[in-house]
Amino acid sequence: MAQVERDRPCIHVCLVGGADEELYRWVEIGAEEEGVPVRRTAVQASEPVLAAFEAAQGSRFDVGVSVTPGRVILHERHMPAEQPVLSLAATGDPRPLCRLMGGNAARMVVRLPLRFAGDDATPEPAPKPQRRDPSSPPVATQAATEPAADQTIVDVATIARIVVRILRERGVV
Amino acid sequence: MTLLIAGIDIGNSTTEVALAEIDAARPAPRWLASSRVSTTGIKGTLSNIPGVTRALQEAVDAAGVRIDQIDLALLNEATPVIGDIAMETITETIITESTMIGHNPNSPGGLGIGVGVTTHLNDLASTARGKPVLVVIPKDYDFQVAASLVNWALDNGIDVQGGIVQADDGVLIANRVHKALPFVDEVRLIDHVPLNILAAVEVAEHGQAIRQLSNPYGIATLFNLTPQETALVIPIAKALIGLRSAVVIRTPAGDVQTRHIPAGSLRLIGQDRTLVLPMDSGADAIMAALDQTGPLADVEGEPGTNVGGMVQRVRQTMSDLTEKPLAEIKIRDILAVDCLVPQQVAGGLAQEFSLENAVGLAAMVNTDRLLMERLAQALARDLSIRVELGGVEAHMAILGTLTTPGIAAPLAILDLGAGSTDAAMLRKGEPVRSMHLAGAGDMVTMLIQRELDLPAGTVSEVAEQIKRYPLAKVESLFHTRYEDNTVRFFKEPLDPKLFGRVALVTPQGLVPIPTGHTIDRIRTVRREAKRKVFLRNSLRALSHVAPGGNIRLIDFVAIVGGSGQDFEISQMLMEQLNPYGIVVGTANIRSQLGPVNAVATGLVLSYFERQRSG
Repeated sequence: MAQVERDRPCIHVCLVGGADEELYRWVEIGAEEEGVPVRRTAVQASEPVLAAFEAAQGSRFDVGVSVTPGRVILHERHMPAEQPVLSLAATGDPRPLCRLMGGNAARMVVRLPLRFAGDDATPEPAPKPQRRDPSSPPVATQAATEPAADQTIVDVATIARIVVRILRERGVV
Repeated sequence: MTLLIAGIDIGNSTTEVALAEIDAARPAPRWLASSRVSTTGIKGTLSNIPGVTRALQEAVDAAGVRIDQIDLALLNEATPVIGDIAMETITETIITESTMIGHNPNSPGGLGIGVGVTTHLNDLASTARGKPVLVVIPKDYDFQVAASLVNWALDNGIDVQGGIVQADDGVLIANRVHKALPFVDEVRLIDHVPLNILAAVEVAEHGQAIRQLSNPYGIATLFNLTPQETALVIPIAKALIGLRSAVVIRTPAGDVQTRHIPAGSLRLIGQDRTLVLPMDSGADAIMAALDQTGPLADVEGEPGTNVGGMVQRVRQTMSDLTEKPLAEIKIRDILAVDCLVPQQVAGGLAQEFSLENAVGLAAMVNTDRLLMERLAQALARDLSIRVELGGVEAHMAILGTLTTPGIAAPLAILDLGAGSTDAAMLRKGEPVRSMHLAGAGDMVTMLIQRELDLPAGTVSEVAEQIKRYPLAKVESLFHTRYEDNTVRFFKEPLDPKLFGRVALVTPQGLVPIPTGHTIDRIRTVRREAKRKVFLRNSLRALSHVAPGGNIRLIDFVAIVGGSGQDFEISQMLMEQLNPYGIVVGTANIRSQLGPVNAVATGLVLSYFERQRSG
């Protein structure tokens, strides 16, 4: 059983330098939206780029990600060890970055263009007031406020990125 | 006596110079240098002078002489024609009240069709049991919360049928909901989705397109529509064809229609007869009518319609350039091309696009000799050298083409330029016949830009590059697959920004194309644009110059002009003309320049012949 699990093609993700365990889950979420499986893996290397490279060596998809407290790195098996595909520094909340990198790792596997933080050029139009029934039941209101802590994941950059991508895809339609 | 002669050919797009030393005692000119720079301003106007000066400077530098040593500069005479292009859509889809989200996100969640009343995630708990609902999830709800709320609702007997999600969370939510439901995500204007209204959501299988919502009767089935109401949803169904996911909302007052903009009609005034053609009869009908009218005296567009505006604009541009009164501008040729242009659907929710019919029009007007004479005088004054008009362009092009190894009369040439497609026919003992037609390289660029919906500009850089270079898809960081399916491997890893993208293979390396179009689509649009413009015009032009109008009586065709350098046009022409028994080849002026510099070379040769004989 363990052998089967190891042989299943996955993106390999490692946490180094004492990165928060929770960040792995955000990498996984990023890959899940693209439909690609992810697995946590342990590596020998402690240097982040080499750790990502080692993770990529172990992955049957040839793609590895290393997460450090301040940086997320995407690597590919055939790249030179010291030259990662992408290396992004977290300025604020590292979770959106982990999700973005998980998405990018998955996009490498499914061969879609990668997304970059710099893609967020198109400004979001002025937000319109939500059409919401004022008589919402208390249960739902409570539930709606509950996720507030988690909501930072959908920061402005992510929204702008999505908007840019939608605009781009409109061309296909 | 030795003279330093410069032949100057000012084209719509480039200015070319041939520099030679001639001596009547020698059998041929001694070619010193040639140059090719972008034309400044519109062909035939004084703003050409900077371009001409730069072209001359490049040539004399290469030859190691100075401009003031040039004994005579020869300009192509009375450039017969200049052209302009325009495009207008003739249909438009309008949704008077938001009624659909047609949508192709990378990753919609779940699968299937759901019909229900749109309900905000917040209101889910208060919804009556057993009543089918579609849940609307704005982006400020985390996917985990949304999924758990939907699960809670399902557990409590609320009939959730699917969802409309604002963020890119469709898969994440669908994966966490314990019933297979369709979730359409990345719906940007979710606050425009009306609540408490009957709606339908469809997400297709991987690799498939939606079927129910792209079928008018499918929509009618889901919403229980009358035949009259079904007629109203046809534009919706049409706009949703080929998508992987969609939402259709039934607003009571909602009314979608394909509005036909009055496209108007074209009045073709010919020497033989005058015909009036409605624009929506299509480009083929217009071009067929052109055969019946005989040589065109003028073209008019119906006032107050799109085509009227188009023709008027062309006339105005030409009037401004030639400084002739508007009424004296006569259109001598047009080329109409049908195309499908993506247009944003007015009233859509997720910035839907619908392919609308459009017509591209290239028009051409005659200019007069005075313009070139004025230019020659100004040039002589500015450069302090002698400048003369050297001869009719078509004759010069033939003379220049004859320097190609292996070419002899009888011969037809096709000059594929940026603004016009010209043909000339040379037969022993007969005067040269020539023809100039509207529509060439610039029109191809416009068609590519509009059909692929590339960013517009005065010069559409991306479209121009797509026209010029073949495509490749970057399949991994170490290899690319070209449009002919060959693969190339690289030693050094490619830029991650190129990964997964369609790129142009240029001499400067791979340049990614900033669109989401597939390589096949771009290739098809590019080749179709070239076919619609160059192949059609080549046949028209050759038929005009052929003996007795019979294209089969032409044996050899040589291609010259800037667009002759195109990597595929000459081969497409060969394929096209082969059935007529015509041999097509690309000229190689002076055995080394390829298809360019024919007119400039011809100008020098023509002067040389005159010196020798006279």
